[in-house]
Amino acid sequence: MIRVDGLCKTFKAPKRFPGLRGAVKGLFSREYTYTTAVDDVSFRIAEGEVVGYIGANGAGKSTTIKMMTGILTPSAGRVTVAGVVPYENRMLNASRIGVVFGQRTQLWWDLPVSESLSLLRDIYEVKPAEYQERLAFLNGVLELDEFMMSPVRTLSLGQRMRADLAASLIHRPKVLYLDEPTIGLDAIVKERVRGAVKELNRSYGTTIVLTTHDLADIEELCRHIIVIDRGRKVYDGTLPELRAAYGRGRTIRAHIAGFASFDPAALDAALKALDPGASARKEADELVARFDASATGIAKVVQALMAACEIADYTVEETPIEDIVKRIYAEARRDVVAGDSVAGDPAAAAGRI
Amino acid sequence: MAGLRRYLAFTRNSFARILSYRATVLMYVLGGMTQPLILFFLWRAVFAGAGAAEGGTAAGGAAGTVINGFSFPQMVGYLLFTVLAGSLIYGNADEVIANEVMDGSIAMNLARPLDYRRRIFFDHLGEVLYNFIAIGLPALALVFVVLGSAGRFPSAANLALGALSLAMAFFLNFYYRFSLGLMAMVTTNMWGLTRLEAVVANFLSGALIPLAFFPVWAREAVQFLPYASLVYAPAMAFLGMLRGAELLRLLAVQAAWVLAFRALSGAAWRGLTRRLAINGG
Repeated sequence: MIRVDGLCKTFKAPKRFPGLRGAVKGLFSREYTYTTAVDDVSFRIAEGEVVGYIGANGAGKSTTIKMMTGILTPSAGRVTVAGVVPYENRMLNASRIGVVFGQRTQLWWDLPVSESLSLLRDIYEVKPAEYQERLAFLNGVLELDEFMMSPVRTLSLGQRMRADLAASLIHRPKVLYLDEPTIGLDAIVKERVRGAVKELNRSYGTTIVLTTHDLADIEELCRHIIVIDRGRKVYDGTLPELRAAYGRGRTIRAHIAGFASFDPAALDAALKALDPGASARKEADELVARFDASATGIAKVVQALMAACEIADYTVEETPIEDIVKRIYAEARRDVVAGDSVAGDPAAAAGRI
Repeated sequence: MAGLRRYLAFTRNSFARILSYRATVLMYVLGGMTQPLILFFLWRAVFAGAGAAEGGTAAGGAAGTVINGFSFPQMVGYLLFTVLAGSLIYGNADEVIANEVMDGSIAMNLARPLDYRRRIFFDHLGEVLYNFIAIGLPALALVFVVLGSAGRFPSAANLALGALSLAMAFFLNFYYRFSLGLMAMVTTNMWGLTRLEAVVANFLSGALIPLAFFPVWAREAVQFLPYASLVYAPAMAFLGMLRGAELLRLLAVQAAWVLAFRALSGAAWRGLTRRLAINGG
């Protein structure tokens, strides 16, 4: 559905100098600074996929999205969305995509939501019968009725986001770009927005590209993940693969009988025999065992625990995705410092992972 | 035309939007009436004074006095016509565009299957339509009453030429405002610029004083500026104050400005999109 090949984007800005003298100098200067926001990024997104596009602030996420929506023209490389090059055939591409920017509404500030939607119906030339059917569907998923007649400026952030989602879907786009759709929302509204996105993907088969800083969004919605850092792609794969590669660490937290008098030293030694990196210690009122699941099985660790003490109950935790992403960034940056041969070729960097 | 419906939605929409701000509209109407009203009393005093100087009585002198080709009823007709023209060349398309440029939301328009200038045009059309109904039509009716009672009702030819000239003024104003709004790319002080522009336009368009009252050299120069095409040209055509070659020249200048600003606004838009495409939103 989406093919991105060797995509680059360099921004050119007049060079600025500090101070008042600098400001005057800047007026006459012909010097420019060049910033590379996206550097040789390639990926494929299949039809019907929900893709998490992750990166720190300024990593180049929005720039990539803008090139995929036809707002920006790449400096080099090529994008095609459903066979169309967005920045060359803007109108055709625009009629097939939906865009939601979490920080900016595309609705008409002074108009009731219903008016904005019927305006979009006319813009995208949606047939009345289809419009009614979609509206009913969207209303079911996003519960629009409660604020359908309210002007957009009076909506709460959560209501506005639901209205924006509805607005981006009224023409049933093939591809939906969601740029931080859950930013600033409370837990309940986030949950509802995620539910709606899932439902849309399921019922309409819409391909969804999602950027977010809330990795819970990713965990719940996306199978395919692309991580970008400083304009370069550093990971491209599925969430389970990511976990397999990075998330091997497990933590077992147990409540045990006789906690106060229990000495974890023997258990610690027993675990280190299974996995040299493992540890067991007391934290607050819990016995905490950390180990690498690829070095030893969970069952063996639990057996060792049960031999050492009487467990009242326990939980097994995977590595939080935040930690995984932090590790990916850290490794990508270390590679950049360590050797340019790897950093110069994002595909190789991704391959190493 | 294919796809016209999607743009007409904007017209309907902006019309509805204005209706939802009735108080603002009322203030605008009252505010717009102030200048013509003041000018009416001013001109009445001027004509009375001139009449008295010519030897007529101060009270009745106004009727027969002619200043720079204007009799008093014609001057009143001219004033009312500036109100009519003002309703058609009203609009804040420039501010709308400037705001979108400055907050960056103009980039979002590129993600929609719409031609931006056409979208702004139909949006603008809704506002103008409202103004024409609320202000322009009553002013037009009054023009007919004033000129008719003075025995100077415009001929069919003047009506047709006036309508043509008004239509050109309307399009010129749109293209001009569209170009002006895109100036927000290069200046951040759009407020100052639009205030300055409003004062200059008010004076040079002939809305304040008919250009016939300018010194000859100034009138000759100002006639060729786009501002004269906004109010003065349609008024002169409508009132039948200019004839033959002079009138044709005025209309030709108008048409030339419409085409020039149409081209300029198109070029400015292409410049902006290239800049967006190269430098980001």
